[in-house]
Amino acid sequence: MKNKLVTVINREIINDLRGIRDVELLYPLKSFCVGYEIEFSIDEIDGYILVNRILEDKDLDILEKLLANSKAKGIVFDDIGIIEIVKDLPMTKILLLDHIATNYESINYYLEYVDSVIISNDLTKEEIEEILKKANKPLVVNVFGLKTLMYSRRLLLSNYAIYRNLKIERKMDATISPLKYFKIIENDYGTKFYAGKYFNGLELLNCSNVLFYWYDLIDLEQDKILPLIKDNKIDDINSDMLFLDKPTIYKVGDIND
Amino acid sequence: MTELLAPAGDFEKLKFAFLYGADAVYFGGQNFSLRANAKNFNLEEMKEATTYAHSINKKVYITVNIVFHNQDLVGLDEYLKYLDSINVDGIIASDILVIKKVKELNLNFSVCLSTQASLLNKRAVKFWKNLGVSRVVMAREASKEQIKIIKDTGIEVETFIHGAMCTSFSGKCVLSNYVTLRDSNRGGCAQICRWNFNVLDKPDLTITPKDLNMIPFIKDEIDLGVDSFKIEGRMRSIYYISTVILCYRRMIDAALNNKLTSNLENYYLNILNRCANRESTPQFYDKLPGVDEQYFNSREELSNQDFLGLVLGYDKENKMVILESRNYFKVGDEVQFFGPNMETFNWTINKIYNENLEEIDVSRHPKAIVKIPLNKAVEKDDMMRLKVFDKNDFL
Repeated sequence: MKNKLVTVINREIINDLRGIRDVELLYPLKSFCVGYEIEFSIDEIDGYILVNRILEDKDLDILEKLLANSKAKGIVFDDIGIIEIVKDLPMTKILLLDHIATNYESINYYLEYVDSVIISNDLTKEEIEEILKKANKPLVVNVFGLKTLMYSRRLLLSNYAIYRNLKIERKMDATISPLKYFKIIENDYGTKFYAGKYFNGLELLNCSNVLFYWYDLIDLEQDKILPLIKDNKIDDINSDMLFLDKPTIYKVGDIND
Repeated sequence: MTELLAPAGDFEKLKFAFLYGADAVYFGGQNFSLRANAKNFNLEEMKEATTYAHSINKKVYITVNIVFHNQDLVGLDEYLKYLDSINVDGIIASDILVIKKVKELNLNFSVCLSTQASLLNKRAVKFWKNLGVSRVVMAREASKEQIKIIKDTGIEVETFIHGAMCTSFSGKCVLSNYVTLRDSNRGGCAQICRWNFNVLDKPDLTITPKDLNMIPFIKDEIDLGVDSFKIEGRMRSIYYISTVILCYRRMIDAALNNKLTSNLENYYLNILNRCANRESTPQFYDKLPGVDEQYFNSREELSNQDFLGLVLGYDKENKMVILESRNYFKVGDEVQFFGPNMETFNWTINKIYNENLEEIDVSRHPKAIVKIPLNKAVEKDDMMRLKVFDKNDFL
């Protein structure tokens, strides 16, 4: 059974990934994603389509036409408006909702409209396990990849370069003090900030009620991809469990009062 | 008639928002609401605020707009039922859970989809409308074209017209969580997008947007049929709320009477930028924001102490205004009085008396009660500010 969903970030390795028995491929759709350097036309996609932009109606009109003739097995998407255009298509519908899919009741409501939901990885391991336990359908769990921190419609790197009179670079590493690392990727549709270290949620691999374990391998060196996917080897990868073992604070006001 | 919707961080701000021209306010309770650092309202205060608003024919909307974690679900049903029992006019929510529950519990108030839902298209409107949403707050990234398309679906449309902007799509940012563990989607945003990011061998990267103002497009949005104009800022002062609401109240009224000129817009723009200590632009409405819509040199904000005093009353017999001081002022200062029921006017302070009617040269203590000779009557809760701009310079 294919239970690993792997984002394709490198054309040269597609055939190797296709050869792994339990891997399903997720392809960022050209002009419909932000934060990926490699994108694919609809004709190239035989696995799952990724659409992670917030879309206007003119974009949805185009997407609707593209999907009508697609041979993809499924679609992973962020914009709720996409539900309307994929509801009758013969493909698996997976809702991404970055940062929003954070409790089992909301996820169960969304599952009335889609086949699965990707659980936010802004949560602790215990929170994720409780969601999986109480979800009405199998869900998708982030297990490895660059963690999205922010999605802006603005062209933040271009604006910076223009203002500073620098050559425009659409990918950049940055830090802030106290030492936190960021990777930033921009395209014509916006800018994504990622945590600089890879999110390591491999300890979630044995959870139940899981449709897919998602490996979102943005910017990972080619030689590290196959050992990771085949054998969960992350020896040379700078990674972190992020929120899995660090709950975030809710009522900050209580702290300051 | 387009509603002017003001933030109310506490009861005092709510009263000033209504007094200065808001048709409705939005605020949060002590749970389930973003802006955890605002004072917010306890259950009894929410009831009192709603009763007060209804007594003067105004509306209240309650923000129930956190993104819920499993453990936050406790008490939500009871909270929503309570809001229904005190007759709030509506709630503002983004989590599907809250929206579904309002329908399941058969509650009477309206549901407005929060800007946290990043709504930009009519298919999403259809989804939310089917769940019982009657109004949507457009994503701040919405263009004029997109607002028109959404408006044409027949749903009520609310747009932000003034205040701080997120760098991110609202709700699509956890920079705060990553850097400080403060959950931005549960009220703890630490505004990391206002920080400097270090880049190797290059100047610091800054990503801070200027504030939003929709001054040049007020008439345009009224003509589009936008139902509610929303002001951001539940943590702002009464001076800020009063100034911003009054400026937009007057611009909206002028626009409705075809009297809103570019000179008048420019005058109000200067007042608003000075009040916020920040620059502002229309952002996404007419273009994709670029260099001119961002700050690049950290916080280009100079704090000012323009708010000099709150009018407590006017002694008609002795022609003296009684003020509660808010910032330093002295004899000889050029000031302005403004309020909801008068035209702003300039004044030169020629004398100041303390509470014991002893003449003083300077009022230096916040909250001190002072009297100033003034030959024009003013009303309680009018305000005195430093004169920085003169309307005549713009008109």
